[in-house]
Amino acid sequence: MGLSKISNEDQDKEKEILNQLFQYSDRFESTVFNSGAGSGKTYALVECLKYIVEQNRERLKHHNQKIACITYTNVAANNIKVQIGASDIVDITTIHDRVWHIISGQKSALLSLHIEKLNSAIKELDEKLSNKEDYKKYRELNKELQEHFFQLMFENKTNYNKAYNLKAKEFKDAMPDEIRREYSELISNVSKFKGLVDRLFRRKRYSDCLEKINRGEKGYREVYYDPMFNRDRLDKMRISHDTLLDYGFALIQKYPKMKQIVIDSYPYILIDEYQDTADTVVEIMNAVGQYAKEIKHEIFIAYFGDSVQNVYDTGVGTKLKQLHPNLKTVTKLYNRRSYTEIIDVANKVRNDEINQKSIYLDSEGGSVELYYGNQDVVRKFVDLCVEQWNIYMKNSLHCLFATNQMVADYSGFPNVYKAFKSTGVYQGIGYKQLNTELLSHDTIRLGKVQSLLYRLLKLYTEVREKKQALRDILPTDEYRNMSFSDLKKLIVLLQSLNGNTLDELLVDIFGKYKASSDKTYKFIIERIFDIDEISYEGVLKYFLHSLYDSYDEEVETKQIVGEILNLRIEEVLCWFHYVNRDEGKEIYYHTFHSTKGLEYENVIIVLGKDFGQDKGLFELFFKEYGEDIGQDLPKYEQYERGRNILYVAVTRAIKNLRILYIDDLEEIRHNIEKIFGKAEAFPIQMT
Amino acid sequence: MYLKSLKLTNYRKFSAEQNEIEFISSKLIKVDKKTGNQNDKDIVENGSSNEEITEIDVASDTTLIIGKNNAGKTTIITALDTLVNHGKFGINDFNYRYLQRYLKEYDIDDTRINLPFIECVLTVELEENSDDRISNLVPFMLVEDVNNSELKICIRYEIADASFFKSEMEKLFSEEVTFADFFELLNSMDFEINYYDKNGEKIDIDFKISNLMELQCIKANHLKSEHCLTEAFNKIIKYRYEHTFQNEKREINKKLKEVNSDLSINISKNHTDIIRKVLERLISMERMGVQLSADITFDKLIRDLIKYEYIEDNANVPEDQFGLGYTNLVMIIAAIIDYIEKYPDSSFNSKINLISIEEPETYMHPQMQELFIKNINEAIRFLLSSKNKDVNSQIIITTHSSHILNSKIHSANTFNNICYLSEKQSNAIAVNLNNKRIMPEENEDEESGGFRFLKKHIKYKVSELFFSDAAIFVEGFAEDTILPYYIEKKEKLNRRYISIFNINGAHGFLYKRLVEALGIPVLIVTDLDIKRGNEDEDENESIDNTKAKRTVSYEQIDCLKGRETTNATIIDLKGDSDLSNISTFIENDNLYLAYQGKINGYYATSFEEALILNNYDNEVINNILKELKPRIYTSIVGIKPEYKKNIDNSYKWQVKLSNCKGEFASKLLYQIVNEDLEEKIPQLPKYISDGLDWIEQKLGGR
Repeated sequence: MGLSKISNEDQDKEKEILNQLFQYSDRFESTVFNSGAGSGKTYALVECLKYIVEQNRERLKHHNQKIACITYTNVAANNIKVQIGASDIVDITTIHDRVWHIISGQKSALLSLHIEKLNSAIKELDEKLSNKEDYKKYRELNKELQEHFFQLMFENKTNYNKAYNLKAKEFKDAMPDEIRREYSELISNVSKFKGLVDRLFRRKRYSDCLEKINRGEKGYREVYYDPMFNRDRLDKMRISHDTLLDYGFALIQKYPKMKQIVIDSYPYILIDEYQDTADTVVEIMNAVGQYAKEIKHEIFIAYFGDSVQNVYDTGVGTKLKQLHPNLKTVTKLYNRRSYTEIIDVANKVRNDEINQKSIYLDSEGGSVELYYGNQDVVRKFVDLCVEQWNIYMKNSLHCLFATNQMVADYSGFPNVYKAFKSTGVYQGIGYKQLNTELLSHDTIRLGKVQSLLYRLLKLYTEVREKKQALRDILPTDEYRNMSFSDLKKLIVLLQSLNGNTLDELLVDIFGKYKASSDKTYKFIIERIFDIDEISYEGVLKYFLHSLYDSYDEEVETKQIVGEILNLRIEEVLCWFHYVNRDEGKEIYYHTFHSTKGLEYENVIIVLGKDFGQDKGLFELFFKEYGEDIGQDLPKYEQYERGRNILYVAVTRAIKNLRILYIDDLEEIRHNIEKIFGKAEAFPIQMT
Repeated sequence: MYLKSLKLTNYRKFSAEQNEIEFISSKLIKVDKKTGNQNDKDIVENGSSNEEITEIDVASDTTLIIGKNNAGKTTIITALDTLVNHGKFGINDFNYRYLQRYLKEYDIDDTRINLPFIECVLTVELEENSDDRISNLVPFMLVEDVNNSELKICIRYEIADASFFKSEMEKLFSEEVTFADFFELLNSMDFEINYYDKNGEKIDIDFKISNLMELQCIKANHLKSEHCLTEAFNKIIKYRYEHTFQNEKREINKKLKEVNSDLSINISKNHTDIIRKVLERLISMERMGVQLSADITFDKLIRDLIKYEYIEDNANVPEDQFGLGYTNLVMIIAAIIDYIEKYPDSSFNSKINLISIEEPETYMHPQMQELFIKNINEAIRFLLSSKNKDVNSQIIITTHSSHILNSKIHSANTFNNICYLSEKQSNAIAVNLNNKRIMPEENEDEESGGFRFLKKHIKYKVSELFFSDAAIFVEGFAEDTILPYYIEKKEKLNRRYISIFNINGAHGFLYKRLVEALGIPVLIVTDLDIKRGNEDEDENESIDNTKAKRTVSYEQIDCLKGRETTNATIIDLKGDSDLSNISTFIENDNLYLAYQGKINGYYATSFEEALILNNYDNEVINNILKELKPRIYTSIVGIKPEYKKNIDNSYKWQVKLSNCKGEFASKLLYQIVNEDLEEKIPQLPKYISDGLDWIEQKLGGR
């Protein structure tokens, strides 16, 4: 067993670094704690939390104050919770949960923000209606006719929704005569017609909502946020993750008291993985920090992370010091994760002033080897490693692939990936989003349809899981008056939902939805699908709108989204397990992005010159490695991106690392060997 | 739904083992005897099963918690009461021995070390297809529980901040740690109550046990004043007026108003003026007046409304002349009436309802205790027969009265639902008894002879077994008579409560599993019962008749080779009847089987024979033998007594004494009690004194 002994000298040095951090916390000087991958950033964060608790618990408790620890994902939050143990003064959550916790009490302020938001949404719709080319014909109608048209359509809403997914011809036939007769101009182009009606309906929903807020109707008195859902439903008073942060920021800007509330409730704020945190959050923090100085209250804000590991385009990355100036810096060079062999390679990839060293005395014994071959040898390569490293469930193997399709193929859901890849929104520039919206392990980041499928499969698997807690399945308020036998029936009903394909499953669910009189069942289904029109047709419409910006009106929806509907449930389940990182396997496949913050004993990295659609990203990195290209900014940015991604990948390994390069190696051989050592051909040539 | 069990870990006397108390669902529901839910017993008791009778069987559906003083009976009720009614534990609720051990085993370098906690696990049973509302339970349910019917709710009292505790412990350990230091540290910690599901996952919801359970405690010592009965009944009547007889109440109020106004007029006419004048002399009344009026309200009226009198032989006896025992019983019934009155009239339940009656035996004489359960049964049956309520409540009775225990066993005719508490290494241990567990054989039928014997026999011996520190089973009158004397002489034993019971024959083994369950040390004193050849088998009878015909040989047995026993207890515990390889005693956990060994060269077959062999030259013994059987005595030892000859004739003595064993024992006791010289007192045969030593050693360890 390696990585177990720490020399006194190194331990003291590490302690010194931590002590520096502790002192800043004592003096309320906000700090950024920079550390490379594997340097025990979480360790430092946990130690820092413990230190603050130990020093200040009595005082915090007395003033009813807490320490906020903000993580990037729920998984990370739980991880820290386990290390800290129970605590009544440390709140560890994601930023969204924390922000919601802080602002949810400001009901009237939130409500007025929401009214603003609704008004601006209506304004936006009105602008579209009065400017967009699509609605020219509608504009040409006089007010009266416009109003009449709307009334007519509103009365036929059910009909409209039902026919929505039909081919253009059939759709027209299903519309009332009067529409075809009096508004033939409008309906001549069905997709424009639908776009118009949808907008009008939405406008109606928004204005209805405003009215209900005005009247103070039940359910319209406050805004709510539910982390399960990734999109706004303004008319239902529900906001999404992004809107939540926006509201939070707006409140902070608008009301100085809000800042004071934050400062006085959380005199210590520790932010994990700062490089991936949204700019808004850092701006909020900065504003809070400034205000604290003004009113002479004390606050300690600490950012933990590594700008080099910023792999999401949305994160603050190196901009931190601009957005939040005057931060103290603590840098940690010790590595607590990997064997020396891995650390050396990682330092080479990084190639900057940070040069990590293992904190352990017994850190030798890892291995890094570089091979080259082509796409077809990947499976063989993996098999060989399984054999060599004696892979079994407790000693699993983790393969990092540079292309999403490969991850999907190897993880058992190739068609799920293909089906989504071929939809409208992921074409061209939209492709970049596919990685996050389909393959993210953080469900907050999943796309709309993916998020719906995720919720659906969550229910599907949970009701089949004996040890699953019912409170996660049943909505909190709906089981109030349920008897045991009712509950039994409900669970049996939920367990009966099935189908070979997604389509069959949907048909089954909505068939039973119609037939059942069980209110709780209906409520659960409504919650999962979270769409306006709870029906099979409604789901198709939702799929269509979420996945296509435009579509051929001569084709019925069922055919357009057919590829997704026809996905086999087993395959979708494979995707679900992938997203959940469900355990119990020998080999796991990951994208480069998804492994951030994690560590594995055995790692294979398979890469070529491209990083997905990012053509030539790695090729450029290897080519320009060690060159001075600081002048050529676009090139440098590319280089930096390639480096960051590769750095994250390499630093996942604790002990064993194999690189398989599956493109032509010759041009970059010199530099790639500089980093990883001699390249061998795979399969190994028999000589 | 009902509370199936309660598991208390590290709470007061309870540790982490044998700490689960089981409860029975007692549905006080009227059972239509024609349609169902009947069992054979009911039919037998009531004769005809065609009649429609509402039957409530409190006896079998009551959980009885029994144990000696300080065994932990009240602790259980206190735990429930804390969970349901207060929700607050304190440091003093910790089991100190647990804390001591915790401190001893604490390792500051172990980051994964558990924090000290108190844990209560409630197991709730859900009846199939019941209409009970489960809103309070869903947070604790898993998918599998839908088919399971059993559900666990785990409540933990634990430290709120782990890292703070650890850092404080580290400081503590930098110096010599005493328990007092540690306790003080714990005292300064913040604790909180958390709820967990079966997966051990913490449940982050607003939950209170009181949403799920209600507990009505009827405590001992509730006879606070001389008029407590009156008060109790006033309370009930008031409640009934307010909820059931609202119209009547309105009428009364109307009348009260009239009375008040009449009285007020009268008062003002006859009294106010006088008072005013008196007052005017004392203080200036220019700006102040006096208004006197009658103020009788419903509450006031009802408070003094009822006079409770007991009618005895047509003469009314006022409450305070009434015996405490009766008052107590009536108070309990009053509490139950109150409870049933207030029980909501809905058709379904969403709560578990517990009624605990603590030590109802206070002030009751034994016969009344014996009838207690029957009386309660009757009272509830009567109360419900006039109501249309399903009272879904569980009754828990704690008691240290053997009579109440008896009454439970015999009115319910089973050992089910008895929770026996005792002590093991200073911790309380709970043993949940039931028929299955104590039956002589594991898979026996409840109708089997052995089990019936056990039930019959235990009837008046219950207290000896359940409330003593150790028990000795003997098979004959002589042992029964003489042993207490010897126990009294043993210093360590005479301070303990050791009961001896004579089970008249080798039936000791039938108690094996009951004794095992109770966990008290039991010594069974039995006889070797060596099987003899045909000729001497029926000697007892033949002696007189065939005296002349043949010379009977009273064979002395000096070797067990090839010998067998006829003793059922030995056979049962040893596994066979072979005596040739029998050890000097058989020990089986808390059971010790003693029988005769070789004494002065021979194996005795009975206690008397062993005693004679052992004390062949003892003056007292010889005198008694001489007195009882002078002719035989002379024939054995000769005119000038040669005591040694007793040894070779011990079996003959055994046979000859067989018709006067009682007399032998009584005379012996008389002699030794009146014997002043210690050395003259006969000694107990070794096998018995070894057994007593064993008890001594067993008790010493406790």
